[in-house]
Amino acid sequence: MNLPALIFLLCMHFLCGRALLHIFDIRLKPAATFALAMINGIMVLSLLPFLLQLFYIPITTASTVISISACAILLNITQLKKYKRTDIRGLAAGLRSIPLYEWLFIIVFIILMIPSAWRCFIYPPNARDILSGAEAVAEFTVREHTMLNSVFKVDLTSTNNHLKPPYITCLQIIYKQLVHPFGQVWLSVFCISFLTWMYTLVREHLHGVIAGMLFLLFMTIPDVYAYTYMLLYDYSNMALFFAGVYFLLQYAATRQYKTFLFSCVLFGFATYIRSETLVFAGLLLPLVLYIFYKEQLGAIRIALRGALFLLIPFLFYFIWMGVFVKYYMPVRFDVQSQINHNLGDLSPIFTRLHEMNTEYLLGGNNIKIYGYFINVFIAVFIADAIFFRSTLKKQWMLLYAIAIVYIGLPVLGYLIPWYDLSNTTKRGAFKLLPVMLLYMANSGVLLRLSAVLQNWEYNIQPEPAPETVKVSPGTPAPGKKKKQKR
Amino acid sequence: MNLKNQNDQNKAVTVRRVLLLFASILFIYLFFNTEATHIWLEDRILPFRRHVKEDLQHMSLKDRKEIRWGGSYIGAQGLANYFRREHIKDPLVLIPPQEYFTRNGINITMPEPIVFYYYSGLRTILPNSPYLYKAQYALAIDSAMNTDIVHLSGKEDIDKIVKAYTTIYKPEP
Repeated sequence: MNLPALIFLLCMHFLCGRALLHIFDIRLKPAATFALAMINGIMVLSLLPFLLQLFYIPITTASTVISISACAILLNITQLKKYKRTDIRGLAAGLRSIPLYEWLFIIVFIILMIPSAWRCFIYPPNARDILSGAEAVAEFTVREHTMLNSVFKVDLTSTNNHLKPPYITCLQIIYKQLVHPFGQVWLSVFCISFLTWMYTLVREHLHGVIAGMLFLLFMTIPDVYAYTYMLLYDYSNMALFFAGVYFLLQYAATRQYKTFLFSCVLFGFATYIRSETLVFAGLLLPLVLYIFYKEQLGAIRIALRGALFLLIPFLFYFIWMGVFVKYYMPVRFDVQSQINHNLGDLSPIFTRLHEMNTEYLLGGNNIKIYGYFINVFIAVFIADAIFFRSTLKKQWMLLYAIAIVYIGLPVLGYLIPWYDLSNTTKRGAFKLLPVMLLYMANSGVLLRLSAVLQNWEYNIQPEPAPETVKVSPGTPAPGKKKKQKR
Repeated sequence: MNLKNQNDQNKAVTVRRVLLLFASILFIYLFFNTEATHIWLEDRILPFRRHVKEDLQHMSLKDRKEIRWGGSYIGAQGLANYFRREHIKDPLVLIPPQEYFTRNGINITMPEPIVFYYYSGLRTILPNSPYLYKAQYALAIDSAMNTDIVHLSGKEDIDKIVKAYTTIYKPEP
């Protein structure tokens, strides 16, 4: 393994990703900033070999290094002033303030990720979908300096995996050229960054012990863990879809337009990983429009922003499917032929929904595949519904996001017949899991439990809960109003 | 006095944190002993130390590929080496479909053409390919399960081989 090249790439991931966060004015805690910058940096670099190919520039080690360096410089040139030392200081201070019980969980998380990282490094990719597509194309790109290489002279009748978006192909090209002949090391970087970010989100509101327990449940989901070292599209797609949803909700809370744009870009990245994410973005559109409506935007601005929300992911889809596959690829591919022609018959949606529930999500192999995670989510949800109904009201957007994945998967199975149950749908359901985790991190039951633990830990006597009064702009603060009445 | 209270408070917090630590240890212990998590742990995490020891003895790229991809990679490499030895450049080889091996109870995983090419650089085609009649060689297997590479001189040879690929030599297990 070429360690200096790996360090170079890690720095480039961070610089490109951090610049992107600066551009969209995304301000997070230091650990979350670092993790999210790495994820975004990986996404940005994954575009570069594809762009080189679009302009017919030979994909050599030199051109890859130059394009990566140029990209980092271009993205950072206007953002340099925004870098702060306080980020590093904040990271160090944050680490010092972690109590012992939380370190215990963190050490367990690290121990769990070591076998995953080792497997990523030691063995080449193995999944059939990768070997018969991205990996083969990447390997021969490294040898022949073009993505339109001799792989396309082979009999391809048994597969269409070479037509999948070039996200993995491009990262494999970069890492094979610079770091290791098996590539793939980037997957560990991506997964560890995503898990770090998720942990910061869970820890934001919950007590360290509850957060640790919940996150342990998430990390040990058997199927999801397997894809931290088995190279495929679904883990990355889950992460970017979740990031898109998270920043859309952040936009709903903060009304920062740049946060909305960032969310659109994240959905674009998710579509760049798996094209069908476009359908999920479409299903999220009513939520997006509702957010704009609540913001009291005019009809034209609502329409324009709604269109933008779909347009950005669509551009990622179109450049690959509408331009590259259509005009560059030596093999023909007809999208129409992949779509169900009997759209009048809706029964496949209900059949798939039933199969999803009985075989994977709620019964059958659900414990083997998703561990106890979904069961715990359902228990927390029911407890919230009984004891903390206000949580359901507050978190309805998250529940909506869960619902669109839950409904969207059978819809995709209906629209695209090859979207099967045991592979594509099962892995597509990964998208539910981080959203469920975020819901639980904001659940009324767990927040109350956290508060109890927090008060006990610091020996604080809980104050009687103040009467909740809905504060609208122009209304005096609740305390003042009471005094005036008296 | 305040300082003493502060110290007492700090001590109380420390004691409670230690209690939380023990509670966390207990939770982790119990969690990893639940049935599904225990199976997962034994399958994915606990054998890691043993696996690393084994992995470190096979650090060459070739070994790692053979361990990961097994017989299908070794077979593809063997076939490609044969053509290299015979100085036959860029042949197109007809291979039996996976179904043929499965139905005859032969424990071989035949990689599909693109994977075959990735493994070995050798171009292969399956009997259902539209380019079937461009095949120059074929992997033939007789009733004794011996494999051989045969030269194909025309459509008749190819049809004969394709017909042979539909033969079941052994009853299904």
